[in-house]
Amino acid sequence: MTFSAIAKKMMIFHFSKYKLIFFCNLFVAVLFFCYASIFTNQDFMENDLIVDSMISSNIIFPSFLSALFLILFLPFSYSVFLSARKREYGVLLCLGMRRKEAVHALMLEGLTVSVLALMVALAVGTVLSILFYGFIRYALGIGGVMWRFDLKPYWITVLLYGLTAFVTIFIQGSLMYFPKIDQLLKTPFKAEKKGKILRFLAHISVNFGKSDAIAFSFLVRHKRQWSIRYMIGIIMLTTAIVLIGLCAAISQAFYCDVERYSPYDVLYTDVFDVNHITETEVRELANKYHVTITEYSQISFARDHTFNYYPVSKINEKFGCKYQVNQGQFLNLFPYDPLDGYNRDFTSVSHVKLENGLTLKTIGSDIRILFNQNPTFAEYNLILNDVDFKQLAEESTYWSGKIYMLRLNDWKKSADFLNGLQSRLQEHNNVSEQDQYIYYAASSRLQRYRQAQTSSRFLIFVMSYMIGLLCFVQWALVHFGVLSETDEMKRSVHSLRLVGVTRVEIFSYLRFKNKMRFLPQIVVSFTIAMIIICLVLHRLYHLEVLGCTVGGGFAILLFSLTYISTKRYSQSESKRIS
Amino acid sequence: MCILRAEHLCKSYSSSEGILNILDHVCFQMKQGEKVAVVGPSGSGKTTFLHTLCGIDRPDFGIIQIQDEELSEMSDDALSLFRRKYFGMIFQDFQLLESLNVKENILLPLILAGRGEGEQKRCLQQVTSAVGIEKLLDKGITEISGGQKQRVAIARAFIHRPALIFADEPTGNLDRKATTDVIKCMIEMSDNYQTSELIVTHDLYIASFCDRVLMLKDGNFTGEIYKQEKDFEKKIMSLMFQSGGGCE
Repeated sequence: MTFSAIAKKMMIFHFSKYKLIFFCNLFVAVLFFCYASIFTNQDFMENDLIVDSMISSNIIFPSFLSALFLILFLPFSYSVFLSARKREYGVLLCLGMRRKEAVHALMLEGLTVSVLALMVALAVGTVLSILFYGFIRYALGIGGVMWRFDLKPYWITVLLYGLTAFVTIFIQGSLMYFPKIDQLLKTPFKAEKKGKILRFLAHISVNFGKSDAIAFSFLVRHKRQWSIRYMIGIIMLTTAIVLIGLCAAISQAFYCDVERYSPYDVLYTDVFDVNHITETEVRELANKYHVTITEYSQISFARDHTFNYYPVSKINEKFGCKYQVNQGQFLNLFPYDPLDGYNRDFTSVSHVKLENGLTLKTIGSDIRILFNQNPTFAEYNLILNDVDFKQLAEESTYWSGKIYMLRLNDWKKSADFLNGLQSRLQEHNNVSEQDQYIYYAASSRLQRYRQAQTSSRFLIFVMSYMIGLLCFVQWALVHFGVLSETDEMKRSVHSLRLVGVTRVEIFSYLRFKNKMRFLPQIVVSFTIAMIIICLVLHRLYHLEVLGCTVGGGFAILLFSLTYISTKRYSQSESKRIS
Repeated sequence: MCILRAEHLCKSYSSSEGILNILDHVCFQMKQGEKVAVVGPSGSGKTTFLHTLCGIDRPDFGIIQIQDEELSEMSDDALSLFRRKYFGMIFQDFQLLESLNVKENILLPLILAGRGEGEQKRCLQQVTSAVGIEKLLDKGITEISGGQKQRVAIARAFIHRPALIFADEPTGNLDRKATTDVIKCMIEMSDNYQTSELIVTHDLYIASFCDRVLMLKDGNFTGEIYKQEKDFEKKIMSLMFQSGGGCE
């Protein structure tokens, strides 16, 4: 019999004991792979024709979080695995095994488990990513995105997982050089002193709470490990609650954006010598598709590569503004809502030199959304005096044209009309569908609303994955901690039974302990999450109430479910240790 | 012939109450084949003394010589190899690996030393028949009793014919009958293999089986009794009273 045969047997024995850790690693790697298969898909991320950037940008944050989890969770699970093996290696060191041999054996074990988990993760991840795409395509209605075999997500997952696992195994394996052999042998029986805080909590709990000293003694063990677990658990649950709150608020914000940024039901321009379509043609189209146009208006504008220029009198007349702009002056207009949650640049332009040599100076700025967003518009808006605008519009170096704005009786039923209008504009312009969409398309409230709907569903879908993972990992953290104390609990319970403590009493102690293991994390996370949600969502259409309600509701639900399930959990623990 | 010599061993730990001197200039010698028991009340430093001698822990000060090799100057690796070759260890809580069966547990020292299959088989047969656990070889550790576990631990400690056996409360977890069986087995094995044995225990009954009994108290030896002395067992009993009743 050789040591490698013994090592193999030991590893298999512990692998079956710690398969849950293996599955957790597997789960984290699979999750990251699923996101990687999406964010490496060029059709999804870069082709605006297939997936709107509003949707594809939603994948970045959860992908980042899943990567972060992989980076944090692998070291943690490996440390749990390692601490469970300490006594065994302590015995082997006692019998004359060299530290180097022990560390190498442990590293080899870690490497084997990691490689195995990664291989299974890639296989499971492939299947799941196919389902993921299927869900996106058929359930969320984001067409045009197909799953195809691409090596990139595999490489990225292998690289991130491999690097994290390698560094973890190397660092944590090397840490086995330091503890004394007798410390390794005593690992499962290590006694701990209570700190001042724990003594205070014990005093409060025993004297003023319903618990007694025995119940509290079940709780105050391995305070350092539990402090770390509590901290990580609180971070995870806080993130989950905040994500739920944000998810609810952002989903709503998508619809708020529709209201704010689509003041007209349809808008198109005839700048660049395109989109020449008469009002009669538009009305005929509307009639054809049974849509009533309740308002059809137009306004002149001109643009260069940087600015859109509007005549002040027309703006005042059309939008009821009272702007005063004299000759040689302009007003910066920022077409944004400061509460839309985006970081906008509100820096005013101080002067503009026109092609005819005239220099215009600013009289200040205003924030107001006049029109729907449209690809034919430049980035910045300036309102000029009518005389200056007329001179500028006549210059051949500026593109001048008209903005056409339509209001319909029922914009939600205008899909056919919009398709017809887009096709008609494309026919007139004699350009490809892609060019028409990217450069000259008509903007509509309906299109934006549908994007908001899809974005909202997609956001909820991708975040559900992440929130599910966070809650699962938090539960696993506590569960593994409870499991790792099984032997100690067996001894304690055995001693208590010998001195006459009944099964019912032991069950009540266990239930108290398990409640205190799971529930305080939820309460603390709830409190922190509410503060974060309020701070973050204050700038997003004041949706903090919605965010707090949904996030808080989830926390309360989680608390209630956990509270109820601690009974069953404690029953199974009671069976395990009896 | 002196197999183990320790001079001026010091070991202290810092605690909330200040520095605790567990071993305070302890001097000790042991002959080949001798069986020595170190007794003392709980917390007297028996285990620390044993761990320091066998290289599991390092002394703060002092010299430990085993077969003319200076332990305190050895590197960690050299110490491991030394322990592998010359020492056998028996613990109160057995320290058997649950992931391996009885046979594999016993064979561990030979496996670590890289001995061949033939030698493993021969040594296993000898040691298990001497300890009386031939029928347990394929059993799991969780399937056998406490007394059987300690026999397995004894077989593991003796299988590579070490020069020295260190036993830390070897019968602490056993009932009186199992205690008698185990200590007799240890002494018999020790006689057969010409192995020296250092046993730390708080059980004077165990100590009475040894050639020499040393009393450790307040960081140093306070008494020494040889088996050939008249009224050996009575003197051991009187040690119990000296120790303040900490020993059984």
